[in-house]
Amino acid sequence: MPDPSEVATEIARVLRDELGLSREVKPGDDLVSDLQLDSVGLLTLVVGLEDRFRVALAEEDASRVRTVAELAALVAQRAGGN
Amino acid sequence: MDPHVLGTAAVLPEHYVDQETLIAAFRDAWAEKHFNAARLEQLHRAVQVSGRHLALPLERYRELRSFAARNDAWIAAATDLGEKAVRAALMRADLKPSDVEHLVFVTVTGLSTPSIDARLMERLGLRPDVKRTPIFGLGCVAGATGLVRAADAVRAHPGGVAALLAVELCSLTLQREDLSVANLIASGLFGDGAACVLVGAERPRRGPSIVATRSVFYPGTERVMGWDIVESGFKVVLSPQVPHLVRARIREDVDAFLATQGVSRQEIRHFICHTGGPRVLEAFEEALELPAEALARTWESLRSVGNLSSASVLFVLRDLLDSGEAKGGDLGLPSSCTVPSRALWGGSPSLPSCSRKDCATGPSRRSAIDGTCASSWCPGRCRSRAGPTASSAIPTISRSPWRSSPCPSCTAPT
Repeated sequence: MPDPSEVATEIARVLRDELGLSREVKPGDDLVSDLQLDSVGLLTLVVGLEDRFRVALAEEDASRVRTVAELAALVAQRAGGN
Repeated sequence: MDPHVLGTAAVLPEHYVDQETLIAAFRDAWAEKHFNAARLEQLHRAVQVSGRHLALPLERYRELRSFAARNDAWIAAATDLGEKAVRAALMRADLKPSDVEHLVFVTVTGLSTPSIDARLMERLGLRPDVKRTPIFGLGCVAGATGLVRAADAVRAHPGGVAALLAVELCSLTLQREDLSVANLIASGLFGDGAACVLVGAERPRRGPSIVATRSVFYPGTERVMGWDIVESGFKVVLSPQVPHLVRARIREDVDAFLATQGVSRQEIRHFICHTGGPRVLEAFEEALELPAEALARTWESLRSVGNLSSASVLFVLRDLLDSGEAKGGDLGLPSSCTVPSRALWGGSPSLPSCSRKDCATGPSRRSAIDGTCASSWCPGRCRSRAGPTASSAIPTISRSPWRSSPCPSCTAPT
């Protein structure tokens, strides 16, 4: 089971390598207002995390997520079977 | 006398496949690599395209296992479709093949030497002294740029007729093994089609004049859009930065171009915009502060046939001219999109705000109360979007009966 920091590292990698984000990613960054992700950007990030950690995120999960830290915690939780 | 449009035609291959059928055809390949294949179907639906016309019957694509096989199929289909487009344009303009003095051919979806324009010489019965200009590699912007090149030819030889032919068979570039998000978006967005525009100067006026053009190159954008040439063919490069680039640059560049003609953005009555993709169009509308419905024809073209690369802006042009809504004295701004170009012609569309039918999560997630999206994966969840977006392109302006000036320089993805 990954810990949230491992997931956060993967989030930063996807943002940098696949979405071309050049700035540093902070745990408190809002995915939309701070990182400027549109729906395609968000889906690119989610697909990367689902493939890397073998989880499937649901719409209900997404409704609770706004920041990098919240997304990392959610993925870590799902990967742990919760 | 300024060059003016004598006639337009746009043609589609006969093999239409709806989006759900295409998603089903891709599903097995997605499942091989991605853990949550259902997520990827959202990407196909997010592009808002209802279906595509394909150069070949759907079942034929599996037989094309190599770049060589796909490109051979491209040459045959591009020649057939290109012939239909030119013949249709000549017929609509009441011209003969022997009237054509210059033929500009643009594409980015296949390779051919002799080029497709050369292969059409005998099939169309063109004069042996026709000047041919095949252009490969400009991408989506080639629609507006090609129109500018045709206008340049007519300015140099005002007695002749120049034909622009754009043929794009995006389906034959598909890389089945590439399961990147960029390729998945491209496989959901791009379709096949061809368009022809005839331009003259000393001929009876039938359409808008091309009075001014401009191209703008954006440094540092080499990896925003394009192809990586790999052993299996064309591997798409499509950066999610395109809408951001449009937002950052398009208004300043369009306003600067219009200022050279003493025209303001508010005076442009018709925006003939490349179909790009939903995000690019939204960015275009926002950046240019376009009123609602200003890009209605572009959105409709995107939804009905997908992004046809360079041919798309010419489909939208054809639709506008056929509608009869363009009147004498109107100003128009055609624009194509790909990284460095835009076109200005005339018109103004706009966009719905936060109904988010473009949302990747699909219409079922939309709130019945206020039309906003209930999905947290939708970026509209925390912002009230109002206003339009657009894609980039290059402008052209014409006058009398209208003015339109195409200028290619565009930025946008599919």
